[in-house]
Amino acid sequence: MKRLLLSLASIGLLVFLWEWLYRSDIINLFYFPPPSQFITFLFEENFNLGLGPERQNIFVSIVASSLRVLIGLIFSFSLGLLIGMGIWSIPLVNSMMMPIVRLFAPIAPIAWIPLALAIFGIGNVSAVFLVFMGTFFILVIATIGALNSIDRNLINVAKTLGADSSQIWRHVIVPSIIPNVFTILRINFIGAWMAVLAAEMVGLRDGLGAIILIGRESSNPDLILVGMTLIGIVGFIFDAFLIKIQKRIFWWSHINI
Amino acid sequence: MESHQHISTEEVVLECKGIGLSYKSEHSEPVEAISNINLSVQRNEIVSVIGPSGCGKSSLLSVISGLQAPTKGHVIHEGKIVTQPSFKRSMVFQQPHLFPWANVYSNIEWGLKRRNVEKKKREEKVKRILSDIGLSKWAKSYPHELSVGMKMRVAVGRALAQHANLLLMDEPFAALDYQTRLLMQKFMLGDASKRTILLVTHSIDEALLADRVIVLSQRPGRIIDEVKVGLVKPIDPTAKKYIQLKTYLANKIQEEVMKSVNDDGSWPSAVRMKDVWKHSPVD
Repeated sequence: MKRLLLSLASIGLLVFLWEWLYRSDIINLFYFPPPSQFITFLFEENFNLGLGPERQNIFVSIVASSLRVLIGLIFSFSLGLLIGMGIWSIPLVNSMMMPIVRLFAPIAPIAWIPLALAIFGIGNVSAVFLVFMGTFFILVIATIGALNSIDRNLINVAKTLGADSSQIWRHVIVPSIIPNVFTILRINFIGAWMAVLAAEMVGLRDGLGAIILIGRESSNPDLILVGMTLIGIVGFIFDAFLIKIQKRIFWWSHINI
Repeated sequence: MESHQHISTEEVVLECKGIGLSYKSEHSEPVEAISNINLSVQRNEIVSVIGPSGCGKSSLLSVISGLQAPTKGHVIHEGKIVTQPSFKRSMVFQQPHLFPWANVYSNIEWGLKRRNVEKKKREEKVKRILSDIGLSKWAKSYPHELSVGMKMRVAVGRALAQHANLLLMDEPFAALDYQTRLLMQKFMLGDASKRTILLVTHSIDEALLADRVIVLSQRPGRIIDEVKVGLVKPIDPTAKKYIQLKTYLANKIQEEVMKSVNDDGSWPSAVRMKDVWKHSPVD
């Protein structure tokens, strides 16, 4: 509770300073309208932003961006785990595939934008593809790393308890590695989030990124700041949601037995 | 196999015939962990294996369990050659090694569930074991919420739930505090015990809770002595026979340890299970 109050207080202080600077004549903050102004603007526009045919409801934009990230992450998490386990369990495939995976992993999600637009055109598939490419290879590496450091003793215990090979995979190996891989997913979520927003600014005409672009094209600083604020808030909520999953579902990752 | 059951060997649960185990170490020549081990365990007999540290006691147990294939000889359990681990040879390891994502109840139930034992039977069994190990109230707790002693009790409970006819124990009580150790020893090895147990230990007191003590040499571990204990339980540690046995075993081990100290006074190299596992395939 104390921490929450402190967090709110620090954000409150930032907003207060911002408002005060805008109203004082110390510097010109025309392109930096404070919350009181751009939030009012949001209400005046009835939560519908943009011009002409591109005008759309703000909540639709939020849902559009979030879904793109979520679907991309679900794909990369499940496929990353599966492919990682496949690569790891066959030594020959392991030594053949790992160089390729490690070559692709450092390519930032944003770097895939031109290719994605060229291959899939402007649309949701491109956005999901970006999130996927930006996280998949890292998750494969994370899966293999987690498998390499798996506790052999748990496997031995399972064997002496009569478990067969597939049971060991399902009931020992997968629960052992999933929390670690999920942590890597969480860390890389921000990269994926950025990629989707960048894609929305470059090509896709909807989502939170597009709001900023429309703001720029129509020289409307209110619009730009609404977009930026929402990106921050939605990203924050997304991250909090992932932390919640980590703590509630995959809680045993940081516990040593 | 059938006829085998009816002749006089029926009482022999486990037999080791000329077992040897060597493994390759990364930085040295092949290491011989144990050599030419011949031993047998009768039904309802408790046999303890004792020896200097690093003599290959744990290696012997992992071979008997089937986790590790011997490089020489073979293990016969219930008349069949051991080729892989089985729930019929339950094992309690040095550390509890509980599944951290499963609560106490599920940890104990784990093996039964994998073998598709009927739900009602599982429930009965787990509940009885929980009460045996005094953890009924902790059924829903997770391993990280338990003390070391409690975790070890769960590990023992998990092994007991298997209904194995042979229990292999690898220094199971070494990490416990004195009080818990006494209780666990009484529970597992006490007079009421009707279990077939092969117990590896480095404590002479603990070894003397068995019916028979097998003494291993310095690495590579060979059997150098075998002592019938024959003490009345509960054991009186002031009894003359107890003190005699204890002194005898202590001298035996000390002799063995001193034999292996190198001429330059440096310590002998020991078998480390970490190395043994490293050089065996996962599956």
